[in-house]
Amino acid sequence: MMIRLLRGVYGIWLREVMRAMRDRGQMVGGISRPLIWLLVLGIGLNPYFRGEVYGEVRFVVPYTYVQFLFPAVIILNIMYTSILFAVSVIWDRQFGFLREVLVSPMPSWLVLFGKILGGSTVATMHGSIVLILARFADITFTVTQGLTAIGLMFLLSFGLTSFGVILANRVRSFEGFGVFSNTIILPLYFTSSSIFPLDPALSRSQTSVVYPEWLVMAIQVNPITYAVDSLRGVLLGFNQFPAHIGPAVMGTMAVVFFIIALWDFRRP
Amino acid sequence: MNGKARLAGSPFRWGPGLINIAVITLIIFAASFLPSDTSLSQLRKSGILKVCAPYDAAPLVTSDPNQPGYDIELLAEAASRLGLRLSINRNPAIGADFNARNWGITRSQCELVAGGVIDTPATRGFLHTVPTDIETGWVMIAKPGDMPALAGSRVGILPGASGLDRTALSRVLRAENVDTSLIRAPAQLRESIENDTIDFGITDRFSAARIADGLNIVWLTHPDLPRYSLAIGGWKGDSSLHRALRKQFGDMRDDGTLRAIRDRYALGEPESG
Repeated sequence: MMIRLLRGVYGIWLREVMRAMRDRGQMVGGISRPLIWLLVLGIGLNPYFRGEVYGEVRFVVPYTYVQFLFPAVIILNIMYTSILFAVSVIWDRQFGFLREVLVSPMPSWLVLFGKILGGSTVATMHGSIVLILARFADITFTVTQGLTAIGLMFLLSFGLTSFGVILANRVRSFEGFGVFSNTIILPLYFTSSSIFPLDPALSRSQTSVVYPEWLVMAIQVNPITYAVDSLRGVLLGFNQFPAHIGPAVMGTMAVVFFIIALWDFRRP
Repeated sequence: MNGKARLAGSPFRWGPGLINIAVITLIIFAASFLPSDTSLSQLRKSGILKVCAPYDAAPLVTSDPNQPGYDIELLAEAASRLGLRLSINRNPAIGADFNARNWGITRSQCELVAGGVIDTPATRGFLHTVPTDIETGWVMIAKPGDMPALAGSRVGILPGASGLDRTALSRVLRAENVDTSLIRAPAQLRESIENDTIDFGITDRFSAARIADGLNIVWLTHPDLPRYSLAIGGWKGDSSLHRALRKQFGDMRDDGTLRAIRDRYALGEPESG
């Protein structure tokens, strides 16, 4: 019985992964984002953050701007793939695939688990592809660091894919979902200390002198901030926040969002 | 049976997806070889690699043309392999003040900084560092014989101008209830040790080596006082130059050049404390 259930989960997972791998449009999105963000934005802004006088730089963090941006671009790729994966839930609902699967002997939570696992695998793949650009960003990491980063990517992907399913259950048309995802992905990304650093050497009141209080607050309550920070910790060896917060936030997101997605999924 | 049905269940069903993955991997891999800045190409145009260095930070930089120092020989060899000529810009402020801002080094004066740059996160906030094979850190220096225990002892501190973490040292010494006195010059430290005014001295590795004749030097080992690699400093953002330099250092390590230069300057390690 157990084996049959696992084969069912495997079947759903395989369907999602195969479909994503064969979708050239999705694959193009997966490479165009890192190329634009790292090659164009990273190089474009790099001169503004480089040193001109020893001891006087605006960007007092132990890496270059392209290195700083690199982990954030991985997260951006994961966010788009994970959240937009939920379009497939709307698709499956509209074309009857979900109905067929839900009348099978598999429990509905396993059906959802298989789908989310598939989406998470695809999102992790899209995040991992960015690691190939590490040479360009002048980042070196060991196999252990690489595997840890991929593990963290998967944890985040699982949480965000579940989050996407929650959104898909509330927005039931393709058009509505497109607007919704853009109003969520980009604000979450820009307020995650992804493209500008909060100087960890500064206290809260000092930071508020550099940035307005509302922006600092938005960054600190945004869970993606801690995902970006966690990946920076693994790949660059530098954290703006205590290192344990990132994995804890991502783990909590994965569990809580999956439970809410399951709750929604079981509703008629 | 149609084609799709034949593919189902066979390993070939992965084919189209894997081809897509291979194509995007190839595109990204090719993009990773694009130069990220113009620092190296500009240098190749000018043909000169300018290095800011102190007048004397032996054994890393010296004023002796026959033995110009470990850092200088390392950079001369790397520059020659890159097809560049090395030009040293001596700066008297380096080594006289531990605050790098007071050295007044600008991008127009030099592409690299040599002669005691320590590869710490604080340094990396201001410079891109390319580590060399040499380590530094706090050492204890005392009369020959057993090194006295740290706790409760009388210690002379010669902080020097190195970029080691003075705050961490001060924290450790306070925690160990050490009676400290500040020493201004290497000669004064040696005199204090010989006169038994202090039980031992603490300073950076190379300052200790200058006055070590007949004295015992060991690393000051403490979890809060790590040893750091020495490095060549470069401007943040000049990634293509630093990558080329790192590659040259790697090649020199592989073909034994690095070891030969190190041996010429007798850069042995102090004992472990």
